[in-house]
Amino acid sequence: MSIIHIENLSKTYASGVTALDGVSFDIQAGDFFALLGPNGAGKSTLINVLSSLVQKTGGKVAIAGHDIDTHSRQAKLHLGVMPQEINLGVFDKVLPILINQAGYYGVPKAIAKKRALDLLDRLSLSDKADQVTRSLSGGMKRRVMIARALMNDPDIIILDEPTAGVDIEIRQHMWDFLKDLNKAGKTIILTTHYLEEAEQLCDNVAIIDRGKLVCQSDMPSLLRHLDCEQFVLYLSEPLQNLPDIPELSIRQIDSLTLEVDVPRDLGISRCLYHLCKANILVQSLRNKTNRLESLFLKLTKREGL
Amino acid sequence: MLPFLIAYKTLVKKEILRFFRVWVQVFLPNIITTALYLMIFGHVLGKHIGLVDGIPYMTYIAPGLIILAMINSAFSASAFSLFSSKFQRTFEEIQVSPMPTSLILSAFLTVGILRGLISATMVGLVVYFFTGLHVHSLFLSILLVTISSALFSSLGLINAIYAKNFEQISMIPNFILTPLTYLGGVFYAVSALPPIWQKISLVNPVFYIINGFRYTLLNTPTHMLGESMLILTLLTVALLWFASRLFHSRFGMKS
Repeated sequence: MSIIHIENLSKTYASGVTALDGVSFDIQAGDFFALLGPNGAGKSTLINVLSSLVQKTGGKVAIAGHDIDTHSRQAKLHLGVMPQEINLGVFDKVLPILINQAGYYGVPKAIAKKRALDLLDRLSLSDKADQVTRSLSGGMKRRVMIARALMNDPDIIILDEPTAGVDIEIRQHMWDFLKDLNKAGKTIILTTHYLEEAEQLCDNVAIIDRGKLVCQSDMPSLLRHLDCEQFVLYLSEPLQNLPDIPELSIRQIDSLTLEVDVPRDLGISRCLYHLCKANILVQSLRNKTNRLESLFLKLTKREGL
Repeated sequence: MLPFLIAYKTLVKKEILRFFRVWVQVFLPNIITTALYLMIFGHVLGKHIGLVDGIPYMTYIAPGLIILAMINSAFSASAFSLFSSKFQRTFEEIQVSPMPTSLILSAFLTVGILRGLISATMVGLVVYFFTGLHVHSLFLSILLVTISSALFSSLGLINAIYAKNFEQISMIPNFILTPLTYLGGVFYAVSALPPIWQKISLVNPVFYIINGFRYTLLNTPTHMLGESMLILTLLTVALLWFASRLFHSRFGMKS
């Protein structure tokens, strides 16, 4: 069932900049959906239209079957929004921020307080409940904003770069938290610049570039479009001269490191077989770039930039 | 409790707590300024001026001083509150919520009225300390302060929507409200002005507020109190309607 329906959505700002140009797609209930695109592609504008912060100039948007123009209140009741920029009152304390947010949705204080304490616990922020937000680190503020977006117990959670500037450990913790939410049936729409984040978390993906939808697919199908992957190979023994292997395109970085392009139809096993045959022993390997990143650059034609 | 009522109560309570957090900055200046006015203008200069419309000068200026404090407080409550929310982008929390515009405006208006009433009461106590005046009609006094607070609170909301920086928030109080208040007869009887200035005073809404408030406190002759209250109410409704149009069009917000 489609929980978000976007049809021919357009937004041209008063300055004349067209941020969205006829974007159409659907998001299914329970999906973990990545909305990707380069800076200025129109992702945040799209999210701001969904959350009623920005007025669209054309098209239709329905949230849980409610048109945002004619049934804005009903549509908003289904949404929890975490914006990209930190927008917590600098003199406000964490717990009141969360309780107030629930209050704006008509949630009684007793329920709101219980929900807030539970969320703070799950996000490892229990000891920060009575602190003013300006005393929190960037990662803590981001988690408070996630908790705030969940205070009305929404069906759909929109997260605009939730892990921006957050260290790896906290990011991993946030990923686990988001996966649990999704397993519990929440639809999550995520924008991120960390493409490995989208690849790990999301089932479906839409890529926007210059205000237009350039791709919408499920993650495995999308990754299948990648016709060549680059690997970095770490060798067991130093290599003096790189032998000529006609089947492979190899570059020597140093005596113990090679870079190899592996076409999809060749595969990593055959690649290693050819190297082995040439007496090159590989100790370990890694993808040079994230797979989704390679595809993203290809689709948005930013290769080599 | 109904969801709308919870939302309204939440927003009002949040804003009230916000201004009580800075009560020294919000209420104390009005009290000190009024005490100074009463000391210098009322006590020292008042001795030389004598009676105005049969009333000691210190008592005569008291209602105007209360109105002066009320106008500044009611205006600042909504203007600073909304603008700082916009500035810190915390207003987005409210925008994404299902609260209708009318409810958001009502909440900000309520806070403006409350702050106007609290300031008027505090300054009124200072006035009582200096003059010991007895209120002619407490009901009409409160009604007039409430209506006037609503008017200036609405004006504050519109100013906050248009303002792009904090400087623009203080322009209306400095360049419009303060001159209108001083020219509205805080320190003098408008009847003492030359005829042409008397006529000009009649287009100043603050003149009607001060004149009416002076009547409700001191039982002085008044100019059309009922009509004045009606016009002030209509002006408030018009400003609120305009503010709601601006909210709907997201003017001054993200658009």
